[in-house]
Amino acid sequence: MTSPRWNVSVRKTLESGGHRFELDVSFRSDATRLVLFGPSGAGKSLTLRAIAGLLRPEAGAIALAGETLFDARAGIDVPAGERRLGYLFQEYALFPHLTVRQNVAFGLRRGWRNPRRGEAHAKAERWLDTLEIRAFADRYPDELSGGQRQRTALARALAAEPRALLLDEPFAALDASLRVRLRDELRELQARLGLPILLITHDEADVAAFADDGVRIEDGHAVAAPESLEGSSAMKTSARNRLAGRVTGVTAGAINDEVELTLAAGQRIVAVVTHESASSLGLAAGAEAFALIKASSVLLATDLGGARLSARNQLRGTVARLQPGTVNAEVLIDVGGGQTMAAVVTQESALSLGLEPGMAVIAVFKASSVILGVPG
Amino acid sequence: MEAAWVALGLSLKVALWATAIDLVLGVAAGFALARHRFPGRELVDSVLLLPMVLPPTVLGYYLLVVIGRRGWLGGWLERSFGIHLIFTWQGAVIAAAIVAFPFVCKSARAAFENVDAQLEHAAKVLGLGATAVFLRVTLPLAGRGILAGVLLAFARALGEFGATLMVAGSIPGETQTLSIAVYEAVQAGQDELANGLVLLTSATCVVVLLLAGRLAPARLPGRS
Repeated sequence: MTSPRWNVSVRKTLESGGHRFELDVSFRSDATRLVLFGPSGAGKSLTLRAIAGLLRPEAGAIALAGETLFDARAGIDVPAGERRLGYLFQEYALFPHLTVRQNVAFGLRRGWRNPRRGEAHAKAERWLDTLEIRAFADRYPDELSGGQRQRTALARALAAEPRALLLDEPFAALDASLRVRLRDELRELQARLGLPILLITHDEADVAAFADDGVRIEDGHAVAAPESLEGSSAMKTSARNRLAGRVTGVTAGAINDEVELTLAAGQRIVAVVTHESASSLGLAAGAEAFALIKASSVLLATDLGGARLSARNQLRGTVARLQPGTVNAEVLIDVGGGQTMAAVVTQESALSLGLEPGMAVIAVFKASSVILGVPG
Repeated sequence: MEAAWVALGLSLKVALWATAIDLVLGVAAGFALARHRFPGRELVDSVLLLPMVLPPTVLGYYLLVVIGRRGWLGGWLERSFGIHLIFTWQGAVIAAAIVAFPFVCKSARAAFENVDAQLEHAAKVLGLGATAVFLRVTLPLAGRGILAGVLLAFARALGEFGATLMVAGSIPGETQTLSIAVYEAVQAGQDELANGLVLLTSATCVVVLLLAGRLAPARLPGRS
C-alpha cells in the first residue's frame, strides 16, 4: 500500500486562563483538495499550524506523501522553514513594510536582508503575472483590496515552490460575490499546478464547492474520518448537507425501513433506507447518525399555506446567507441547533420568493433523497 | 561662554554614549520580555523600570555602592584593570544610561508586542531562520516604537542631573554637563553664564525635537 498524501495525527493540550482545550485530531486522505471543516474554535487552525510546524504537538505523527515531518516517538521535528509548505494565513499576514513585489520575493531571498524595493526576481515576476498582480506590484499591502491581498499572499506562498499549500479560512475575509469567484479561481489554479491543497473552513459551502474529500472537526476531534465516506464516493462529491442527529424511530417495512432522525434543535428528518443497510449501519433508536442531502434536492418555500405535499421532510429555518450566482443562487439556511443546510435554487426563484437573510423559510425534500450514515 | 560650549559638548558625548548602550541593552531586554515567558518575568520588568520611579539620588547612591572604589564591581575593576569610574565622564555615562534605560526597554517591549506574531510565523514558514525573521520582519516593524523610546532616552540622558552629580561630580571639562553647569552657575551667582547655559540647553532640545521629526520615516510600517 502506498503512503497516503495526508497522514496526520496530532495531540496537544492547551491551557490558557484556566480554560483547557484538548486537540486530538487524526485523519488520512489521498485527496488533492482536502478540506477540514467545522465550527470556529474546534481546533482546525491548530491542526493546520501543527502541520506547518508552527505548533509542536505532544504526541502523534505528521507525514505528507510518505515523508515524515513530525514524529513524537521517533523524535523527528522538521523545522517550519524546512517543511516546504505554503501557508495562507487567514488575514493573509502580508508584510506591511514591504511592497507586493517584495512580499512575493520574500521567501526567495535568503540571508538577513529583505529584497530591495526595485529588485526584480525572475521567479517572483512570474508569479506576479500568473496571479495578475503586476499592476500594483509597487503598492503596499494596506493599499490593496481584500482580493488583491489574497492573490499577493498566494503568490508569496507559491513562489517558494511548496510541496503543498495550507489555507486557513481563505475566503472568510472576503464578501460573498468575491468568495465564490476566488473559490473557483483557486480550484482552477490547483488543477493547473497539480499542487495538493489542504484548506480549513467553517463554511460547509466551501466543502461542497472545493473539496474532493472532507474531514469534520468538532471540539478538538475529527468526528468524521474520510474513510467513513469512502465507500460512497457519490456522497462525497454531491451532497452538500450533512445534518447530524440521533435516531428516534425505525419503522420496519418489507424491503425498506423508515428511519426518523431528530436533529439537535428537535426537528425531524425522515429517511427511507433498505432494511439491509439499516441493520448493517446499526440504525436503531438512540444511535447517532447523520443525513446527507444534496443541495439541489432541496426545495424552498416561504409559506406552505396548509398545502399537503408528498415530500415528507419539511425543515423550518431562517436564511443565514444568500449567495447569488449567474444562474443559481445558493441559500444557506439555519435550521437551529447550530446546524445549517444549503439549498440551490434558480436565481429567478430566489428573486420571486424575495429571499433575504433573516427570512423564515421551509426546506422541503423527499425522504428518499436522504442518505443516512453513521459517524466513523 | 567658552565653558558653556565645553559643557554642551560633554553633555552630548555622555548622552550619545548612554543612548547607544541603552539601544543595545534596552532592545534586547524589551525583546526578551515581549517574546519569552519565564518565571519572574513581571518582577524582572518591574526591576528594569525602577530607574523611572526611584529618585535620582537613590540611584546615585546605589551606583556608588556598586561601582565606587569600595563597591564590589568598582573595587574589582580597580584591582584588576586599574579602572576608575567614579568622578569620570564614563561614570556619568553609566549614570545617564541607567536613568534613561527604562525609556528604551519599555517602548521596545511594547513595540515588539505590537508586532503581529502571525507575520513572524509567515516568515518562518517561508524558510527564514530565527535571526533572519528578527532582522527582516520584527525589527523593521518595531523600529518606529523603538526609535520613539530612543529619542526619549536621549532627552532624558541629556537632562540627567542627580545621579550624575553623585557619581561623577562636577568637574569642569571632565564631568560637568550642561544641567550641572546651570546649577553651579546659579549657585555661584554667575547670572550671565546661567542665562547663556539655559538658552543653549533650550536651543539644543529644540534641535533634538526637530531631528526626531525628520528621523521618523515618512512611511509608517505597521499601520494597518
